[in-house]
Amino acid sequence: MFNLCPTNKRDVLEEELKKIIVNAQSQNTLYTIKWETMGIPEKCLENSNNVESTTISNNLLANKKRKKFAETSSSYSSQVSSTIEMNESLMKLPENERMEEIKLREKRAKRFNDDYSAELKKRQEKIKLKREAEIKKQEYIDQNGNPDVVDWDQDTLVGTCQDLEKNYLRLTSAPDPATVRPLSVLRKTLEFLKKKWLKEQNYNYICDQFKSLRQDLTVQRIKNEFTVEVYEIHARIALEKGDLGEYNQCQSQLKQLYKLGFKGHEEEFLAYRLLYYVHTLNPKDINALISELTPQQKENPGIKHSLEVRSAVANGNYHKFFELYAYPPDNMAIYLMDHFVERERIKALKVMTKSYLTLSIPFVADELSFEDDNECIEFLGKCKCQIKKDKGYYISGKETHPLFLKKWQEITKKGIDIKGQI
Amino acid sequence: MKKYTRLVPFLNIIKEFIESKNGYELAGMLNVKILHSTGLMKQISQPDHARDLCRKNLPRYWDDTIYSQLRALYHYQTNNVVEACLEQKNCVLAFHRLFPDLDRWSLPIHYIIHSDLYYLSVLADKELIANNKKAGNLEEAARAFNKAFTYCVIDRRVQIANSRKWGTYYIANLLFKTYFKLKSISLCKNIQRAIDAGDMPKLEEYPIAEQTTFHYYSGLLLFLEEQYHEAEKHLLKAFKYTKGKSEKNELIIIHLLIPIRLLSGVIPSYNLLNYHSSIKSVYGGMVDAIRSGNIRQFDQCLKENEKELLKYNTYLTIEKCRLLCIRRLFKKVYFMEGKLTRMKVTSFQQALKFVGVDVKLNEVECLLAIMVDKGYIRGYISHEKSILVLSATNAFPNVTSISLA
Repeated sequence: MFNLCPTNKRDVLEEELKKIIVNAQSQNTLYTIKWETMGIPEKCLENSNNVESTTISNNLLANKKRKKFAETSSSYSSQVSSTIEMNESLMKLPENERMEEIKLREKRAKRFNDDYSAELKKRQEKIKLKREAEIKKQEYIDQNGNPDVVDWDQDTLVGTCQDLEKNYLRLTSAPDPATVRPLSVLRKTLEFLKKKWLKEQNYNYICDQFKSLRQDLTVQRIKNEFTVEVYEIHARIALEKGDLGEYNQCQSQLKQLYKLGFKGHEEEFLAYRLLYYVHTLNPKDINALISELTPQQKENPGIKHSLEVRSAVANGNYHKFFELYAYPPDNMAIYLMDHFVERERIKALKVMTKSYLTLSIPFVADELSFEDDNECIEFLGKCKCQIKKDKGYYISGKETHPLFLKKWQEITKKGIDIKGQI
Repeated sequence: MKKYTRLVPFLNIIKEFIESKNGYELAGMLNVKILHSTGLMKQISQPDHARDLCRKNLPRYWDDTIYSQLRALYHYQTNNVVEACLEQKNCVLAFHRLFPDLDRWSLPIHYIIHSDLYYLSVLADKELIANNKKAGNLEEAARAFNKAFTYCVIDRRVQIANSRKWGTYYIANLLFKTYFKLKSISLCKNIQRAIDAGDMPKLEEYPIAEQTTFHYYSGLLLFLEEQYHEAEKHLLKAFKYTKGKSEKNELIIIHLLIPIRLLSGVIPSYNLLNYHSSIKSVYGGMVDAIRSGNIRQFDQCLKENEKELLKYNTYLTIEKCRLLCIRRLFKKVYFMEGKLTRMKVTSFQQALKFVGVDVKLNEVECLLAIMVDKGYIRGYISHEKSILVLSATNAFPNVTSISLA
């Protein structure tokens, strides 16, 4: 493998190091491939009694170094500081290893100077090194693992693309690393998209961009708090724009991510999930979700509201339901409720027209939480309900009941459309 | 079963049973829980030796099946459930290669190796989870069962008497059990559809045990989809055969039937409540509450027993009974006021307040409206005058006379 570099050349190498560190950082190859452990094996084999301590100490150092990168890679300005940090960590390596390390980095840097041929060479060398250091790598991963990637294995992809924006294309085969953006770039992309959404509010564009962002995370098998953040933001945007299909996709992913232990706004999304199940009227899912709630979660205002909504819908208590609709908690639940408000209104009207002889429009508008009388009249008009007038608008219960009964039966027969997204 | 001290005579007997198509006897020898003699166990413990002997003495694929089954038995009895499960899986896979060419005589073997696979998978998964590892054995078992199920349903033999279709319900029940355990209940629908589509002998011609289990699962699935009327039919059939046979099974069915009956207005009798402590603790309080119309008590009982009810999947059903409780309360008010045909909504509001449910007038009207719609009350409401106008005759009909909502 690598021979020790003579001491007098060390200064020259360190100079070059400062130049190449910028490149190395943007490539982020240090992230997923443990160069330290791969470079050391021979050395360790020589001093057999030092094997354990050297590998472990190197592993710890590699860990430390990686964490620092994770913190600094998200901001451009800290590039300089990270250079210094990188040098510091280099100094922390034992004397004899340092030369090897610098040699390693130099070799890597040289590769980055060319274009395609370098990429190819880099890939080939990568494969060779992987094969050589197989055992050590597995040992390292068994001990520490890559904190960003769940289910890490030899085929995990690391992207190299640096573009912030990328259109979404459904994959039909294994992706090309040159089109996939690595984690650091994706973080920048998220910030960029957040600003763009606030400014332009162009849903088609944003949805497309978020889908490609999610795709890049998936192919690199990156599952961490950043992934949770991405899915949460996309879910909220989808909710605001009424895109239930996309929201449901995000929700399923978030459920898995929370289960794996990643932190996010779990309570908020539990509340949304419950409301979504009320929308689809799936008793099994509702049962399963309620049985998993802890007493603490039940006290959360968002979840409490969702539970009351579910109860009101189950009991057919339209009064309570529309009260909850008029006074939602401080989250995006209202957007979810919008999707089944119409259905509940028809159900309520079916009941009301059976029980009342006449229903005054102001009363109906108030009970069913319409914005005002006109909106109510508009809705009834859409249902082809006859409105009469006598000192104020009203509808006749007896005459209009069959209409709403029929409408309600149509709805229950058809079932709820989940828009093709499981 | 006779104890064999050497493997070769054991295998020879198996070969005899295969040739004479004696499924029952053969199945009796292939149970993982059989305690073989130490001599036989010693021979099985040497994998290569055992495999050789099996290869030499048994026809093709039977050798793999029997070999894997014996290894599974060995591992199971030496407390290595994970290995045992793996071997049993191999056994099942090998048997699947034979199965398409076999007919009805082989079904007992089919039953025993699959039910052993279920048993071992559950044990293996339990152990893996206890050691914080990924447990996928039951899922793989489910796939194997599905394959076996397909072989049973799709049998193009002309003579039904010899067909593999006689094994369908057994394996279907096993699949239901597995899917419920895996919580992927939606997959059960595929099985039901396949059975409906397959041209099979009538359910009544199958062994009663299989019929009962199948009725139970059909009822349970319908119950979960809130089709209570249909569910009741199946569950009653299942109950007929479990009554007096197995207390555990009886209770499972009773816990499903009580909510269905409650919804249609039939309150469990005193005898039934005292039948078992679990019934009394869960439903006792609620029945009292419904009888007296005490909603506060009902809500309290519901909260206390939430966990139990969720376990039986009956929480959502019992919740619907709340309306019955309210109906009872309103009926009492009606009687107390002297069966007037015109009642003020405020009377009902007061009654609700009395039992601890403090609500606005509009919400009381809403509750009354729901009852009129459901048929619990015959009459109508006037919002302007805030009164409930009731029918002179039978204003509060018997709940049992109203069809299930």
